[in-house]
Amino acid sequence: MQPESDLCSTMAINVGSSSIKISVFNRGERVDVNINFIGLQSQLVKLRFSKGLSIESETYSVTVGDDLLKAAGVIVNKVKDVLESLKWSAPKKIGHRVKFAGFGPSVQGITKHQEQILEFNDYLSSRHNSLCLAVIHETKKIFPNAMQLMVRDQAVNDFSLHAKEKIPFVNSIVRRYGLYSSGYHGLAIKACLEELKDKYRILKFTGVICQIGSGVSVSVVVDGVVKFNTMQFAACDGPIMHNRSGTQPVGLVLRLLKYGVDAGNLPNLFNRESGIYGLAGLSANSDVTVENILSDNSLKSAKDSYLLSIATELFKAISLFPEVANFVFSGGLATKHKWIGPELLYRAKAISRDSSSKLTQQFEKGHVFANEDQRINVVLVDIDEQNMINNEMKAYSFKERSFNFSAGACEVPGTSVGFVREGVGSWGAGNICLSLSNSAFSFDTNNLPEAFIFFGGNRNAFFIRAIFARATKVPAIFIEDSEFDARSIINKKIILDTPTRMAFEL
Amino acid sequence: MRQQIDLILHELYPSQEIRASMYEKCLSFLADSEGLNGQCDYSFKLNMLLMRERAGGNDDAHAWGVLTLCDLMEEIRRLREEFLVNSSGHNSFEMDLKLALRLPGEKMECDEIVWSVFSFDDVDDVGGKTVDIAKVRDRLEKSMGAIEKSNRFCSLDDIGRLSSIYGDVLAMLSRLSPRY
Repeated sequence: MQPESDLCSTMAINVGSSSIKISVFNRGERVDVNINFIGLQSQLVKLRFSKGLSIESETYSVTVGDDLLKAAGVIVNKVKDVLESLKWSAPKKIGHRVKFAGFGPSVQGITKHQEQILEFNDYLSSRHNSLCLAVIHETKKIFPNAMQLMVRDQAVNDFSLHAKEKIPFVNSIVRRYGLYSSGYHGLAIKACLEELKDKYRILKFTGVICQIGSGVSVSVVVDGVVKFNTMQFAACDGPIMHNRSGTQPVGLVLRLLKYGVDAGNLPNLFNRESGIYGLAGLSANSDVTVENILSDNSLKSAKDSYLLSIATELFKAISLFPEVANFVFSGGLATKHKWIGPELLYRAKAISRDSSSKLTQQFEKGHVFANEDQRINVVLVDIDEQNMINNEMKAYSFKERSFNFSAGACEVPGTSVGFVREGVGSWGAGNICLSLSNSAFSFDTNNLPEAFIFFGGNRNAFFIRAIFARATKVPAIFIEDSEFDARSIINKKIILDTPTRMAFEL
Repeated sequence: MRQQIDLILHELYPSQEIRASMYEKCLSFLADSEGLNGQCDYSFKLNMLLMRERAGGNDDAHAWGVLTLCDLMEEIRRLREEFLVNSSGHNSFEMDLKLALRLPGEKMECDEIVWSVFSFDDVDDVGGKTVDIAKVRDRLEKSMGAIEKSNRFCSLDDIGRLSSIYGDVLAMLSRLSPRY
């Protein structure tokens, strides 16, 4: 017999930069309600029902323009109406795919604190966080009794992608500016791995996963574990995308700043006003789709630059992991335009032009799996991210490993990892110093901890210690002792991000 | 004020004995300046610090320095709270970050303050403590001029300016005496 919780409706929400996809699951049946092209003149709403419900799909237009809250309201209200017409109960759990929510567990309850982090990190996203917040706002209003959960889209749940030897900065710079990344497109990667397991019985995949939708990423997976991911810090990292720049030379950023671009406008420039649209000379809100660009001969040079940019990242992945011989292409563009994967493999020097043509022919005939010359395997995978969100939600445990520092104050921004120890003996690499007002403080610049947690009743009592932390570039946070029990954190290994007042046990 | 003096002395003077005598000196200077009817603000105290330092009176300079730090700390705290009240409705992490980037120490190089003199450990290495004192003095004198021209502080930049003075005062104190 199924547990009762499995019989209730659950809702999975997958927000992109201009689309919202909502799926409701109930006793083996499913309803999908999507809205696309948010930001353009008119939007398309699509309803699809699973076979058992015997209801025809529906598509219609609405006009919400660039109003994110309105778009969220339209779609969530539509879901409510559909559920009522099906006589389904309101969802008990709602899972929101979140990208730039700070490091944390793969699934976590949504609190005001988490919403503030999403808002704070919006600069990294291509409007994804803003749209996500609008949807969270609406789902809370329309389904007030549902448990709202965030399902992180991070590629790994640890810092295994952070390799000291690949970041050309000293450790003090890394921690002061929080230069840690856990990659993105994690749910798409998980969905690919699930498909490979279900369809091809590949239990521990080793190969490259190339996700090509409006966001593009290249990841290397070894024995089922992500080892490389191009979307490192922001939505615009990696190859050139839809309206995102991809990783550009640092000098280009320096020039922009020198010649007067406001630093606050850089995220918009890189995440919204560039990409293949920029290459094609189109504005960010153009009605021309990427598919149009790829099939328009007059825009061939934009298409070539876009493809070469992805192929370069693919080449890089192959160079870093020469043992990989399996390639998965997923995402709307790669599965709809079956020539893209083979073309990229050719441009990445992985296969010949002849092999690329043969592969395309195989894919066009409907083969989703191709064993090319017995040398490499190439697969096209249709992923179902909402299903993945739903699966992740089911695995959610209430045991939170995060600490509530939301009432703290950032003294020195940065991100640190270490064991929390109290007092002056806790200084040195690998330790985060918990400093009470009566703790001895050595002011030793040669033996710095990874971070300071100043803990007491009066922030001014740590005024000079905080100056020391700033001058030595050690991240620091002040926490009022009435707001937190320091004993709960002692001797635990945590990641601490001081600007977002976030701490999470590793 | 007494509490603030105590807080700062506690951080700066590892020795209980010297802390006590410095505390008395600070209170005595405060009492002497009571007749100034509110004119004994941090610019006055900073001026006294510079005068005493130039005259070579290290202990007196220290006491005026501590009093300056107390005033500046209080002023920075007041402006910080005013800023947070005025920015309610904005993302609190964003505002907190803006503030943190303007607080004392942020724009300093680590070695501008001789940190070892504040350590409770027996550290003899205070080499270089007098090397840059002229530079610090020069910066503080320029800051004095700026204070006199601007009476009202209310923006993040003003917090930054006060923070810079705070850092320089601390840098000067760390160079005035080898070991307390």
